[in-house]
Order: sequence, then C-alpha cells, then structure tokens
Amino acid sequence: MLTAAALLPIAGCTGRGAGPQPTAPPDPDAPRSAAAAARERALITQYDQALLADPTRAALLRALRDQHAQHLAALESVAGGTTTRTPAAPGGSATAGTGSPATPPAPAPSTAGPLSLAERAATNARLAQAEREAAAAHARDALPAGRALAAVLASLAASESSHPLVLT
Amino acid sequence: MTARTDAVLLQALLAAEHAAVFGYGVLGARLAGPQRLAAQTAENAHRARRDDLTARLRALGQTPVATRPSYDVATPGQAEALALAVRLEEGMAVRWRDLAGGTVDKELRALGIAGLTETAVQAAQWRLTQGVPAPGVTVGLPGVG
Repeated sequence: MLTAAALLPIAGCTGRGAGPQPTAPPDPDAPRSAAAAARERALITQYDQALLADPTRAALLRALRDQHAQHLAALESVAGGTTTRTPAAPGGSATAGTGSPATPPAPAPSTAGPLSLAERAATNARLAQAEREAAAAHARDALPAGRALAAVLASLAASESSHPLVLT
Repeated sequence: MTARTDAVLLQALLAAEHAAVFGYGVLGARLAGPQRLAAQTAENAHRARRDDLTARLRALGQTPVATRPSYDVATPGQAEALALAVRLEEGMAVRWRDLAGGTVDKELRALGIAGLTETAVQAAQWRLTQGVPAPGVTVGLPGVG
C-alpha cells in the first residue's frame, strides 16, 4: 500500500528532478490471500446458518466450521498480520478467531422442529458444492502464488476436498 | 533456508511412495473383504504415483531413489493395519505439501496439490473405516505436521 511518504521526492536524488520515486511493487499475493480469506469467511457463514437450522448436527458442523477458522488463521499468518477477524460461532463456542465478530449477531436457532431428511440432504449438497468450489479456487490461485501462500492454499484445497465425505 | 530443488522434493516423495507401497502390502494382508479391497486400491494408487515420480526424476537426469528391501511396519491386527494406512497417508501429505510449496514450477505445483488432495481424501476414508466419528474424520491443514 502506498503511503504519503512514498510520494515525496527523496532528498539528494539527481538527474531527472524531484518527481516521486518508484515504490516497491505491490505484493501480488495480497489480493490472492484476501480472496482466499473471503472464500473461507463465506464458508464459515454457510456453516453458521446450517448450525442454526440443524443443531442436532452441531458436533460435525462445528468441527468443519472450526477447520475453516483454522484455514483463515493459516492465511493470516502467511499474509503477515493482515487484520482479519474470524466470526464467532453461534452458541458461543471458542474458535480460532480474535476480537469481535465480523458478522452481525446470529438470529435465534430455529424452533420449527428437526430438519427433514430432504432438508438435511439439500443442506449437505449445498455445503459440499461450496467446499468443492472453494477447493478449486484455492488450487487455481495457488499456481502463481509465492511459496508460502501456495503451501497454505494447497492444504486448504485438500481439506475442503475431503469435507464432502462427511456431508452425507 | 534455501529452497530445495525440484529433484530433491521429488526424491523425497518417491522414497515415501516406496514405503507406502510396501506398507499397504503388509497392512492389506491384515484386512478382509471391502477393507482389503480398499487397501489394494490404495496400494495401486501409490504404485501409479511411484511410477510417475520415477519417470519425472529420470526425465530430470536423476537416479530415482530405490526402495528399501523392507520397512518397519508391524501390523498385528486389523486396528493396527487401519492405523498404519492413516499414518502412511498423513506422511505422504507432508511430502506433497512440501512439493506444492517448494516448487515454483506450475506443473509440479499442480501435481503437489493433486497429490495432497488425493492423500487427504484417502486418509479421511480410512478414518471413516476406523469408525472415527464424523467430526474427527477430516483435518484442517493436511500436510502440516
């Protein structure tokens, strides 16, 4: 990110005159890790919604949600401290997130009774598809990425490729 | 830390695949029915990876690392056999991730991601077979030791 100081002429520079000096090129991995983090946040939101609608599957849905929180944390550590916040899960369980939730307060769990098999199957299909799409996007973005981000995106893609196995 | 060359990363993968092929042969003998079939399928997948890695190393002018005559993979019974299968895949995962993150060659990086994905899915399938409850079947960061 350009700072004001970067635009000031550097004293003692000769030759072309007092124009702005070239700054370091922007980190090409910054938009990639930001995009990956956005994909993970979107998945966390989907799991939050599923948790509200289907609390009888809390253990599984929370475990998968926690893995996405782990993904976010891994992206943060390779991005070198970009401030991101992992939304707190409904029901107050501890997650890998820091600070206040980035999402609005969750609505109360549904009181409409247990999910039908068809509704649960539809939820599974939706979550599994979201996992596959995120995995594919991470894998694609890993190819031109720097080594550290590529390793993280590889793990995220692999993890998400395995999630459909338990969304049955 | 200097980056390891592609050849070094591929050799490490090949060495691990040799161990996996051997290990699956041993553990498969401890399993029966569909589990034995799954072990044979996994062994075949590892043979294919082994052969591909061997060809890549030769193409790089390298002498592919040889298999050892045997590996320390005692599996007295079914439970140990399944546990070994999970461990073999988890070990492979580390090497695949090393390749994905260690190379800047896009084709090898794609190979690393494909290998890591395959092994993570296989590990999860073995955990299901072990009877691990669903929340524990998948992991957040495959290949991170």
